Amino acid sequence: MKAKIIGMCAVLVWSLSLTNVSVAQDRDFKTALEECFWGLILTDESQRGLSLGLNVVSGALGSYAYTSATASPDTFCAEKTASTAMFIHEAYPALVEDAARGTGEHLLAVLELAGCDVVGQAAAAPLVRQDMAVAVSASSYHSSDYADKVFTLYESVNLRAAQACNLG
Amino acid sequence: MTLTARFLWLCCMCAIYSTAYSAGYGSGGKGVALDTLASNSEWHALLHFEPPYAYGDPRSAINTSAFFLAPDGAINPVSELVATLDAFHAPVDNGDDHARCRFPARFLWLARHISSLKNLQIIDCESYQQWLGEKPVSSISMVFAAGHMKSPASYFGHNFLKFNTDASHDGSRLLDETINYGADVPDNEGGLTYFYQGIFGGYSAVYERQAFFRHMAKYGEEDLRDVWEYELNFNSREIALLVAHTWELQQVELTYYFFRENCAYQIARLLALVTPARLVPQYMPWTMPYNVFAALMEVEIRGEPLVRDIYYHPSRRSRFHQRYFELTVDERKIFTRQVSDDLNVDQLKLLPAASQLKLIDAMIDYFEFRLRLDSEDKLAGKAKDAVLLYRFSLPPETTVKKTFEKPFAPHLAQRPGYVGVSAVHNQSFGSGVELRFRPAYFDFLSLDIGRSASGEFTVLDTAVVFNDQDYAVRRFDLLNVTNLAPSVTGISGDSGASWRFRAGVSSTNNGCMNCQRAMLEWQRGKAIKLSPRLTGFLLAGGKVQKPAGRDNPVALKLRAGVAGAVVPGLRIHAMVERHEDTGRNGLDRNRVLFDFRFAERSHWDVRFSYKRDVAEEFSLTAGYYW
Repeated sequence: MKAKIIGMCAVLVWSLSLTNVSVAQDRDFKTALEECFWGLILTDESQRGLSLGLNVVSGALGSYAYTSATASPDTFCAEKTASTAMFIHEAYPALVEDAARGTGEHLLAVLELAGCDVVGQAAAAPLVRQDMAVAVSASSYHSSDYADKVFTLYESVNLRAAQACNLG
Repeated sequence: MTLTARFLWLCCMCAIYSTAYSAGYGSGGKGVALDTLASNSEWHALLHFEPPYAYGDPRSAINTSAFFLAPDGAINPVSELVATLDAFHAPVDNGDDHARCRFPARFLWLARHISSLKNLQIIDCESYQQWLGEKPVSSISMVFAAGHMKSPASYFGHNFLKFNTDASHDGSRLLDETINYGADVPDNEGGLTYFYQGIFGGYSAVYERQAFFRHMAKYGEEDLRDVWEYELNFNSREIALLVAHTWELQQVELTYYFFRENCAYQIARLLALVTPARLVPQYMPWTMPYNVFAALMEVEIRGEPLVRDIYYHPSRRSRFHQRYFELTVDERKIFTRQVSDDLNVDQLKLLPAASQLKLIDAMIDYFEFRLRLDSEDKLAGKAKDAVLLYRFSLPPETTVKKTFEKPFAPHLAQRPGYVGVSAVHNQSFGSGVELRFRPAYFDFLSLDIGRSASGEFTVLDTAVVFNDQDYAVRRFDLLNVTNLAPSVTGISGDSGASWRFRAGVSSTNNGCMNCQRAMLEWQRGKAIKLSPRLTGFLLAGGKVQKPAGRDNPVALKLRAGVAGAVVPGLRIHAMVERHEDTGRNGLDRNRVLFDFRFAERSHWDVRFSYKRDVAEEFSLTAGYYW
């Protein structure tokens, strides 16, 4: 756990160092996701374990766009990425089960949070399923930290939603 | 401003507004007097005024001064009304700070009664609009999370409101917002401090907005509690008023009282804004979620039932049980073999596809259920990952098909309060009458709806016996809990700890009338399912009491019994208990009890009882529940 926190601190310091210069740059979408996710996890884990204590769950449904990754990390995170992260963090077991089955109310809900309409959800769900099949089949999966598993799904949901749900 | 000056100012403002609003600006051209408006129960509900019995003079339950616009708004609904109207007419500088943006529910409600308010300049309440979100609320549900034994705050269940949007699919329901009411309890609060502060108002409480999925993660997955949703039949005006009022309640503090002004009370009181129905009894010193839901079912609004529909959200445990019992006999054998021995999912490949899917789904719920009981259960963790991987290799589902059977809803549960009158014949002191009373909650013979299938949990259970010469309090239990947690499926890992705790004052045995002693009992053991509705148990432990007659301070106890339903309409609790006194001349003995209950009704029953503990005793009881 100590090594994990040191690692997260490094990510946070690194992400903060990016903050000053990133607004004007086209930052990589995956990098933005990483910064947002680990920043949230780190902030929250230090406060109360593994539950994300955010109260901003309702915000900005449907307003997220792929291009918002180029906004400042705070803006990016304050929008739906934080809500999506919290949802996945709290409901990961049910989500990975839905992914294995191919659908389910948790998987549809998180795709809606990520900006997909009903048609987009149907298109994105099989892609998330593919990603998670690969993740679960990895020999290291069982011994992985919970937060790492959550991040894998979080990244898949956001990337696949951007790909399949006409966000932009 | 002196008190006299304030009074004169108030009278003056009342007169001005009363004149103005009575002179034809009122709703539909009819004038409306401010004192009439200020005494309206809905205005009181907007201010959270409590009936006079609670505090002497009526006053608001809200402690936050910023919630009131008049200096004495917390105790004077008239001056708060005047101040509110004054603020609504104030010039608009910053929209978000204007009273009409801070108190949109007050504005909605007042605009119905004072039509001239609708002519005021429209304000852009940016923060409020953002808070409302993009998806309009289409209905409101009151939600019940079943009670459980993990913590005292959860014994009686929990309720909150859910704002439903037009769900395009099942998953959308998880994203709906809820309004929860809870005490702000410091981390690691000690048990006694918690009880004291909870009972005597030592904690602040707030209304909190959370997404529904967070409740489901907490109650359905972590606590393994079933969740019920009662969708209410409010129209769009009533929904808008309730939603707007919850905006007004952000960051206001109230005082939490464990027994009466708890979550059940304060959530039910919110509905006073839109229905005159009394959902919590006015003079009862406690409020229980069950009572609120039972009351909801009896309310009508515009000639129709207030409850439009009831939805069931099964816990992980209930989902596993339902999926297991949907398996065929052969599939259950395979399931048991797979989860008991080393898991080998490859063996499932020989089965038909439909059987594979049923087994895999049941196994996923089973292993996750075990992980919820013990997060360090490495075998369950590995097995679940293997089953998931196998599920990934099977064809995906394209629609959410699974629906779970709905058991009896909690409003049908036994009412928690009980009073019974018994005709008693005792071998030692003859015939008499026994009165029994308890405010809560259930015993072995109570209906097994909305609670664990077998067990007892009574608070302040009191029995007084009278014969022609004397009377005596035979028992006064502060708390009496027997938690039986048998394996419902017979599969390993599907059971919990079975234990018993009792603290109070009780007769030492049946053979004496005035032999009461303070006592404490603790037992632990095992329970098994003998049939779907009958549980057997074996408990061992001890009893500590003040010495009495030949009963010494410490005794060892071994108890075996059965509890549950034998056939429809007949419930039984039978047990035999060995009492081993640890003193030299102690009175070792066997206790025997047979309790029968006839009639499965939520409001009444008839009981027959036989007990032997030194002396024999028979009783016939008529009981009423409320």
